[in-house]
Amino acid sequence: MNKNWQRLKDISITRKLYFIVGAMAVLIAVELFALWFSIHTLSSVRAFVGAEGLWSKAQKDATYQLQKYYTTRDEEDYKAFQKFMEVPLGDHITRLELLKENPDMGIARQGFLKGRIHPDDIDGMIKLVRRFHEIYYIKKAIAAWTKGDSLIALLIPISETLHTEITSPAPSKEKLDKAIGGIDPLNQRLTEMEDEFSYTLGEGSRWLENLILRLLFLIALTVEITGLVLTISVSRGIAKGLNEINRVSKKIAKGDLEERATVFSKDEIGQVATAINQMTEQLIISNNELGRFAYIASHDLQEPLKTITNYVGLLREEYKGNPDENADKYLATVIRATNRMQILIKDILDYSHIGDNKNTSKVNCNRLLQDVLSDMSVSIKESNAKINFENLPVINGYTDISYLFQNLISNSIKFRKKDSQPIINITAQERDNGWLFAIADNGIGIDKMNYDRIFAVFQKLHSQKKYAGTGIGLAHCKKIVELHGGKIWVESELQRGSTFYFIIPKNMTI
Amino acid sequence: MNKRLNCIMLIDDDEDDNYFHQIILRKMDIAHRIVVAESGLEALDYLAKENAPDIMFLDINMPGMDGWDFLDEYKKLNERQKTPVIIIMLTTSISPADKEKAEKLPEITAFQSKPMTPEMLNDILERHFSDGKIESV
Repeated sequence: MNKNWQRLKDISITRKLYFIVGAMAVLIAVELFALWFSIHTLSSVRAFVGAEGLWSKAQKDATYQLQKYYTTRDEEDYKAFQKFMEVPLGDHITRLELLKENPDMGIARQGFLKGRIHPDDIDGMIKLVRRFHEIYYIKKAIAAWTKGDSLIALLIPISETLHTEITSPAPSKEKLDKAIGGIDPLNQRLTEMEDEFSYTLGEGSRWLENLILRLLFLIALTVEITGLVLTISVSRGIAKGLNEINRVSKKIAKGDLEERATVFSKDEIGQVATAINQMTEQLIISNNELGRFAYIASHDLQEPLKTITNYVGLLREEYKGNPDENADKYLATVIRATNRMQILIKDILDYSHIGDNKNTSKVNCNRLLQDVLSDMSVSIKESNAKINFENLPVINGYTDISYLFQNLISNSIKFRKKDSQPIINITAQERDNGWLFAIADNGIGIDKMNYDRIFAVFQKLHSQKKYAGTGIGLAHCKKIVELHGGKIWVESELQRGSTFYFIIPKNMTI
Repeated sequence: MNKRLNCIMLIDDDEDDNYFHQIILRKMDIAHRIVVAESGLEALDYLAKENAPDIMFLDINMPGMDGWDFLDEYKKLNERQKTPVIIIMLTTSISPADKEKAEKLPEITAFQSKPMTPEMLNDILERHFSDGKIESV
């Protein structure tokens, strides 16, 4: 059962939709057929009631003509009687034919034509008798018809007696009276039969109408329920798959590459989910490759650099002042350049390692800042910087976050104004979307046009001579904040100071 | 430092580094012998024939048998060949993963970044060879 259900789910969405439309079309066709069939049947019943009317009228007319013939003894009246009798006799022929195992439809049609039934109604009526002669109402009506036929047949011997007597040279009044006396009771019984026939058919048609209404209602209900169930189940399947893809895509967009989409089926949505999973795998592979590349590249760059440093160091130590002072100066420049390159390479390596440690923990920012400041004690002392902070929160974060504070504080110290004491205020405010930190200084400030630029890798606003640095620090900060799902920005005024803001979300969805 | 060590071994494929490290070691004059092995295999050969050195400086990145492979083979040696040896990993690698891995191995005494410095050597001597300890070698 489950296997079959799974196989159904695996069908492509296009096919599922075609299937729904197809199923609805079939059901609607069934409904239309049922409607056509019932209208047809009811119309045949109507035709039968009409035919009964013709039958009864002919019978009454024939009876009247016979009675008139008795009085007038006019041959024309007798002929009129015979003419009227053709109607019930024609119907009689048809009835006999239709009750046979293999009726001759030609004979049956001829009979009804004689019964003065409209040719368009005949086929429907024949079908009604053939199809439904076992149905109670039709059976009963046919029984009444049969009885009526056998009763009306009694008019013929009466009419023949009358005709024989009237055409004989000496008609016997007694015989004529006797014959004509049989007509009235016969007429009465026929009326009963005729009533029974039309009542039965009326009753039958009401029953049929009722039945058909219920049937049509039932089919309509089936159409609607089937359509609803199919649509709901297909759209639920689609929504379920899309929600899963949506959920996983968001997680992946936030950098959680461990997340995988559950594949519920092999339809288009299942294929998209599978593709996303494969893409993520591929992303992990290329990320790893990139990390390995950065590591190997910088590691391999470091080796010759270290050798240069080592040997230049030896040169300076062992040959100081040789051949002249210029050589010392040149060597000092070489050493400075290699040192800078070493820092650059180390920064790139550090940058590529952000987020390697996937574990988050509770970070008490007050304690963290104390540690950071004690690490920076030399530069703080040198610059005579005053750093204020209090009541910082405990947040959920990565170990890399200490670098964030360290870098922003060291920037504030580095870009201080020459003639005044650097003052740095660190605050945190609770917001709906997390903790908003602000690190404000009274330094040289940043031009508005550079607000975005400073966060890009290797972007520097000053010469190496004026302010040493690799230009990677703020890029590093940005990467750390984004790792936490937050954002970082700056507001500043030239010669007044800068304030760096960053938000660390409270509930990191990582 | 009142006593000189018997032998210090450098295991590194980088000739420049070996040369530089030898200069440092000679300047400090702390060992009778300095042995250089340019690969893990060469070092193993030496250990199979000769007495174990007092200190081995082991590089990680080496063609063929790297530092880790060498350690795997080293573990299989008999006790005589392994007699108290200090193994210092001396490498340009600053990968935290390498450092972690080295810290987990009981054979590794310390994980140091190149280049070798007099301070580094003094620290090693102080920790592992001060006073009576050196006599036992």
